[in-house]
Amino acid sequence: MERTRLAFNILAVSGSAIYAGTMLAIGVILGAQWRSVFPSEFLDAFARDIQFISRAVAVTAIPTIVGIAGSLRLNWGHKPAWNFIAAQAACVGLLLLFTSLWFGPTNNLFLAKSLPMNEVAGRLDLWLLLHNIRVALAGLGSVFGALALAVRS
Amino acid sequence: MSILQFLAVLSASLFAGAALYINVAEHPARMMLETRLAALQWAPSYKRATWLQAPLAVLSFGAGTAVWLLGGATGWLLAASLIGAVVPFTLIVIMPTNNKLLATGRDLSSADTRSLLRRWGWLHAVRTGLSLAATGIYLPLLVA
Repeated sequence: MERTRLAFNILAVSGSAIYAGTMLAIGVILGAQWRSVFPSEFLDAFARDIQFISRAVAVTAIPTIVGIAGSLRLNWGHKPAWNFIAAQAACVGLLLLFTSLWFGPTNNLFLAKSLPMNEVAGRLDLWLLLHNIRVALAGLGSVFGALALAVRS
Repeated sequence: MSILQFLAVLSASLFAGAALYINVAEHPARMMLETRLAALQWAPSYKRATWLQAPLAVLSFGAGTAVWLLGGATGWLLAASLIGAVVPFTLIVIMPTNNKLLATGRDLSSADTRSLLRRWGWLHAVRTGLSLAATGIYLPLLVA
């Protein structure tokens, strides 16, 4: 049981930190690339890139969610650790909520090319600015996860 | 000591996440483009990734080694060596491919350029593997 709990805790921390790295790379590498081209080229690139981004996000987000869910269940009797894991879950939950409420609809606008061309660059800037919040939430989540590990050891 | 441990783990994990993103998303998306466009996109993207990833690798290596020097288990040195190995691996193994891709006068539309880009993707996967292995070793050490 103890080994299983540890495995879930480690999965939660590593998943969350790796997820943060993926989000950071999207903002730094891809964001700069999107900004460097004309709006019409960006929209084509976005349509091409988004399927691969979704794959990368799924590869990192799913283990994180499984790790957090298992950690919450198996740390139930240890209040200090559980509180940190709950804080981590809140960070990831907020991130997912934010993604579905703002990024989902905005991504659909880009994919449908339904924004006026003169508004695309501004919306992309906002997308990248708000993306930093997702990076911060994922990073903060991994810090809480590491703190949960620390108080249990 | 705890701060060093945390720095080592966090920077290795961030590196691994960024490296994984490049292998799973960025490079496959790039390879869907016509070869010339893919090569043109690769060059600035590679530079940005270097600025993001090199400091993370060095930080993780330094922090992990420091933990070992301060009395940590040998595993800290092993994981630090794995993440640190991405730097010489890049300089010795990957750099010749980079230099060929960046060479003045290269025909960016050629089959050779495409083959080099494909090779670069495989070489980058080694860095991803090294960083994931380092993260996998570091984390259990946090609770040992």
